[in-house]
Amino acid sequence: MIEQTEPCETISRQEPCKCIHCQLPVPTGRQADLDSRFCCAGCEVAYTILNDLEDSFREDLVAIEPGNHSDLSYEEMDHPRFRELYARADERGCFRIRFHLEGMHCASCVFVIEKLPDYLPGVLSARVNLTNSSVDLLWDSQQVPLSQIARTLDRLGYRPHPPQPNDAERIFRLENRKYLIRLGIAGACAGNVMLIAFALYAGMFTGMSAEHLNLFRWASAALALVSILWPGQVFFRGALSAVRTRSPHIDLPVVLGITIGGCAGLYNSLRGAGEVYFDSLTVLIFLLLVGRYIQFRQQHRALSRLSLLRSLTPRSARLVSGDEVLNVPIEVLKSGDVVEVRAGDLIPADGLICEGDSSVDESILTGESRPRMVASGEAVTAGTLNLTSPLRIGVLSVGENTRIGRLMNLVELGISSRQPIVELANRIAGLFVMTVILLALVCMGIWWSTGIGQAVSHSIALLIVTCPCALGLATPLALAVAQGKAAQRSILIQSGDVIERLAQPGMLWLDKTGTLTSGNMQVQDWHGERRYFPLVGALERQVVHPIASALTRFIEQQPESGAPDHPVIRNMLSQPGMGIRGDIDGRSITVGSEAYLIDQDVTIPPEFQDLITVYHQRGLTAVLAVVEGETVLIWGIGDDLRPDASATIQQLRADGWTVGILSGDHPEIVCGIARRLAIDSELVHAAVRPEEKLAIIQESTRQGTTVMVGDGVNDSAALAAATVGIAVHGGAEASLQAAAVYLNRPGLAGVKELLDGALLTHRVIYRNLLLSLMYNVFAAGLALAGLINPLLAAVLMPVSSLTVLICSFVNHAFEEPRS
Amino acid sequence: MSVLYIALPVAIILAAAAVIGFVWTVSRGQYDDLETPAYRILEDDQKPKSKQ
Repeated sequence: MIEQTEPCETISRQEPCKCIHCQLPVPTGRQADLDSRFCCAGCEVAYTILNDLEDSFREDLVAIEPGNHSDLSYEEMDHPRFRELYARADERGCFRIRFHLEGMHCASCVFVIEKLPDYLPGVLSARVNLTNSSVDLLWDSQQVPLSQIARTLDRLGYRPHPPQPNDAERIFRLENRKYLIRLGIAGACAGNVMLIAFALYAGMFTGMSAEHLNLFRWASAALALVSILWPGQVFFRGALSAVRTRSPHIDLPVVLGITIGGCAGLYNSLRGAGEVYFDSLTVLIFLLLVGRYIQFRQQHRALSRLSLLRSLTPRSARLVSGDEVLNVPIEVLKSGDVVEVRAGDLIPADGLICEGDSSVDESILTGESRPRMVASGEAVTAGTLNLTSPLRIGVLSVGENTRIGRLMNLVELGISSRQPIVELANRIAGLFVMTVILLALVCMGIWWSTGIGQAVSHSIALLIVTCPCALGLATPLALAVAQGKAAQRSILIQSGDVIERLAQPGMLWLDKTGTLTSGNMQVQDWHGERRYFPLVGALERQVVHPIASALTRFIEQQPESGAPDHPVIRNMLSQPGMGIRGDIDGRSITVGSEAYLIDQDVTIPPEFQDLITVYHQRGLTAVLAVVEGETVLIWGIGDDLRPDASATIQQLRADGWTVGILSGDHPEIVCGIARRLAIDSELVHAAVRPEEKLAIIQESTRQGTTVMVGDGVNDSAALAAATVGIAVHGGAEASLQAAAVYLNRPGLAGVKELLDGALLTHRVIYRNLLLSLMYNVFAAGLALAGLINPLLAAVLMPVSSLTVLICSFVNHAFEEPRS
Repeated sequence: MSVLYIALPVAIILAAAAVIGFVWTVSRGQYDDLETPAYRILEDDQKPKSKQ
C-alpha cells in the first residue's frame, strides 16, 4: 500500500513529480505548493490514515499480550554455551539462530513475526518458514540479548524452542533439490520426446521421407538417453541394490522395460527402420519420479512435525551457584552441580535430593500412575516430573548417562532389530518380472515362424507395453495420500510401510496410563456420613498430594460442605503416601489408607471392610475417615476411564484384533480397569518393567502383527520392537522417536481410525494393482497377437496411469467419520 | 521441409535453456519453502523513511 519513494526535492525540476501514495504524476498546479507530494487531496487523506494506522499498529505490537503466553525468562539463552550450541556467528559480530515456534498458523503469523525488526531494535531480520513452523533470526548481540527476543516472541503467543541439533533438515533440503532437478529434466525430456513422437505418428499416417524420419528418431533418441542416464539412474541404482540383496523390488521390472526399450529404440534408430518407443519410456520415467517425489515429501512432512514436537521438551535447568539461581542450558550441567527444580518442572538430571520433600510423577519412566513420595537423600531420575514442592538436587549424571539416556539406547536397539517387510508392490514385482520374461519368450515362440526380426520386435513391444508404470505409481501414491489425510486427522505416520504392516489384524497391546484413562485422580464412589465432609476437607487441604487434592476437589463440589470458616487445626501429623491425622476444633480426625488406620490402632467395622474389598476389585484406592475413633466415611479414588475406551475396544474386537494390557502400573489398578473393559485376565500384564515389556512384545511379534500403544519412556523399547508402535498424545520424547505413528489427540478413537484407514488404504492399493494387472494382461494379449504399435502403446500407458492416479486420490480412507 | 534441420535443434536448445534455468532456481533454494512466500506478499512494504 505504501510505497517507498524518494522525497520530491531530490527529483529534478523538469521531471514530473510523482504522488507518494499512488505514483501518478502530481499536477503542476499542486506542485506549486512546495510541501505537497500528493496528486490529490484523496491520496493525502488515504496516506495519512494508513500511516497513522501503521504507527498505532506498531505501538500495539509493542504492548499487546494475546492470551496464551508464559512468563518464562529465557535467561538460559544468554549463556555463552547456548549460543555456541544453537546459534551461528555472522560476519560483523551478528548471530543467526533458528527457532521452532509453537502456534504458527497463517498469514497473520508471518506478518507479525516478520515485523520483529521494526519494533525490536537489534533484530536485523526475521524470516518465517511456515512449512516447518520455524523462524530464522539475525540479531546483533550487542544491542539486544537473545532472551529478550525470545520473551517478545513468547509474549506475542509464539513460544520459541531451539531445534534439536540434527542434520535431517539439511539432508532433506539437499535431497529435495535433487528430486526436483531430476523431475525437471525428466519432465522436459518427456515433453519434447512426446512432441517429436507426434510428428512421427503423423508421419505414420501421411507418409514421411526417410531423411526426416531419421532426424526425428535421432533427436528423440538423444533426449531419451539424457532422461534414462540422468534422472533414470535412480531406478538402475534401486534395481542394482535389489539384485545385491536378492530381494524383489519394483525397480527391477522398470529397469528391464527401460533397458530393453532403450536398446531396441537405439538399434532401430541405427538401422533406420522399425519402432522407437522413446516417448513411452520418457513419460514412464517422469511419472514414476512424480510418484516418488510425492511420497518423499509426505514422509518428510510427518517427520518434521515430529521433530517440532521433540524440540518442545525443556532444555534448561536452574543451576544453584552461591546465593543465586541461574537459568542455564541443560548441556552446561555436570556431575556435582546443584540444581533447583520447582514444583511442576521436569527434573533435568539424575541425582540425589539435598533439600526438600516432594512427590514425583515417574509414570513416564515406570508406568506407575501413583506419585512417589521423595525426601532428602533419595534419588530422582531425569525426565520425571516434580509435583508438589521445590527441590534442590545434587546432580550425579547427565545426558546419555542418565537412566533415560540408557533407555534411549534400548530404543535404538529395538528399532534396529525390527524386521523389515517386503512391500506388497515389491513382492508382486518379483513375480511380475518372471511372468513378463516368460510371456516374451512365448511371444518369440509364436512368431518364430514368420522370421526372427518379426519375433523379436513383437517380444520387445510386449516388454515395453507391460512395463509396470501403474504398479510403480499406484502404491506409493496411495500411501502418500493416506499419510497426508491421516496427518490432517492428527495421526502422524512416519513412513508408508506402516499402513501395509497394519493390514492383518493381530494383537493390540495397550499401555494403561494415557491411552485408557484420562490421568486424573477422581473420587469414583463414596459411602458414609455427609456431615463430616467439611472436617475432612479442612484437614486434607493441608497436604499436597494427588489423592488429597482429588478429595478436596470432590468435597468442594458438594453442596453446603465448604470447610469451617477458620478451623483450628492442632497436632497435625501427616505420613506422606499413607494418611494424615489432626485435631480440628477439638475433635480428632484421621484420614488415610487401611494400612495407616491399622497402624493408628483403629478397628475398621466389617461394613467398611467389605467396601474396601469392593473398591480394590474395581481398581480404586480406598481412603477412610475416622472421627473420634469411629469410622465414618470411605471413598474410592481412581483414575477415570476415558468415555470412549469401552466402545472402541468392542469395535476393535469386532474387527478381529485381540486387545491386551501391558502396563507398568500397580496390578490392583490395572486389573480393575481390565475388568471394567472385559479384557481377558491372561492378556493383562501389570507392574512390568521396560525390559519385560520388550520381551513380551518380541514374543508377540513372532506370532503375528503386534501393535503397541503407549506413551511413556518405559514403553519406548517395546514401541520400537512392535510391528507398529503408536505413541499417544502427551507422551515422552523417547516414545515419539521410537514409535512409527504418533497420535496427536487423546483417547483410543485415533487408534481405531488408524487401523480402519490402513485397511481402507490397503484395499485401494489392491484395487490399483488389480486395475494395472488387468491392463497389463490386456496389453500383453495384444502384443502376443502382434497388434501393438507404438501409437497404441503411447495411448495405453498414460491411460492406465491415469486410472490408478484417480483411484489413489478418490477414496475414503482417513476421512471424517460420517455420523 | 529442410527447415526442420534448424527448427528442431532450436526447439531442443530452448528446452535445454529452460532446464538450465530451472536447475539454477532449484539450487538457489527457491523451491525450499513453497508456503511462506505466498503469504509474505500480503505484507506492506517498508514505509518511506523520508517522513519526519
